[in-house]
Amino acid sequence: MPKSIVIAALLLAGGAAALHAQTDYYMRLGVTGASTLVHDQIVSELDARQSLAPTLVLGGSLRVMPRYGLGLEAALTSGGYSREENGISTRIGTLRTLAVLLNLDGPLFGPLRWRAGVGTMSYLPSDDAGIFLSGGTTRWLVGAGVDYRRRAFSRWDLLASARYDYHTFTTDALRARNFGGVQQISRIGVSVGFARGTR
Amino acid sequence: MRRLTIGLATILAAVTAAACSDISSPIRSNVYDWRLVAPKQTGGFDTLSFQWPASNQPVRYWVADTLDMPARVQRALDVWQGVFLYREFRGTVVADSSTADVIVRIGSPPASPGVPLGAFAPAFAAAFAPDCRGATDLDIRPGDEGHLFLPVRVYIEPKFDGTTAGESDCLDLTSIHEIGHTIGIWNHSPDPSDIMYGDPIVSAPSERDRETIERIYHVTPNVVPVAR
Repeated sequence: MPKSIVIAALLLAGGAAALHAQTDYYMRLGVTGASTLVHDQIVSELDARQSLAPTLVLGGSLRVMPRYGLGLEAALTSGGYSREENGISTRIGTLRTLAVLLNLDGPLFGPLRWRAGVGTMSYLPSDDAGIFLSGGTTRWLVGAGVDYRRRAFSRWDLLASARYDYHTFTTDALRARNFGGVQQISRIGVSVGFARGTR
Repeated sequence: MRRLTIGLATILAAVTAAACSDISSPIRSNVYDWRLVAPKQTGGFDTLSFQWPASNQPVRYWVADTLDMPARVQRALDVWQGVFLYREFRGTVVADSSTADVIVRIGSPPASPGVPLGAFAPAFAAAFAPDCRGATDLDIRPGDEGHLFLPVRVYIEPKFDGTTAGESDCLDLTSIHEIGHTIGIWNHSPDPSDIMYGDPIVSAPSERDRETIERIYHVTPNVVPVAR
């Protein structure tokens, strides 16, 4: 993980302790879908794809201006990935991903807020095999999304979110096998959960 | 702040648009003929291509527990599994020979095997006699060429007691070569730089070996495995 994100996390944690009243925390559960991981052609065309993956999102944000916040969000997914060729899908392993995003958030309209940021995306395969023969990989990530928030309990709010993020993908194993360029990957996630803090 | 919002959206759009081409896969045309040409009962020849179906994987290998052969075969499996990008083949060493798809023994093949493959005598230096040899016996019966009757039998034969350095290397190399036959390379490469050359002198699969086995697992086979 780049130092900048670690530093931001520490600042956020430190800031959270000192500025509790201006800090938001949230946790959401949801699902994330991603576009093709690798498109290849050996005899016919084939794709390596991730399945829809259950997602846990943890985050926090600190009010830096009256209506805007600076936050850190971590999204962990865990699902399968498969090879799809000639209409046949064969599961080939388990793949976890961890996206860490340093982001800004602000009001959109009504109970909706926008969120956008940059961060890293780490692929954590269960086995060092196939396209992950040399292990996982970490890539830069940009993302944006919308949060819907409404009061649910005295101190907790209901939070529903939609996210989009984008990164490029390759691995050492693919480069070693003379794959050129990178695969563009878009992900969309939806999740619901609870938030606590500033309103 | 509106400017900041617009700025962020612009950056996001620009980054997305900047990477406008996807990953490009390599051209894999460097293959040799892996198929087995077998005489047909009705005359003429049949060209046989085989791959382990996903439903039969992981393929179970039983290995005689001598000369460190289980570890050598496991390493050979690891080598071949490492060739595949999409985990098309998986094999494992098992303890019970009665459940095995492939049996690996030390010794020479029996007098009348099915279709003997891969008998070779690798030599690491011209001054020495071959240190070991191997053979893979595929049970394909005349008139029933579409079926491979299991188990596949592999024979690896050290010339002496299998403990000298040359013999140890030879057993490793021969294991990789014979496991290559068991996973679908039913022929020999014409090129000495390939592990599947009839009299191999290299110790690992070449790019051509890799591309050949990749190709095998992406064409439709005409032989399927059946239990004996």
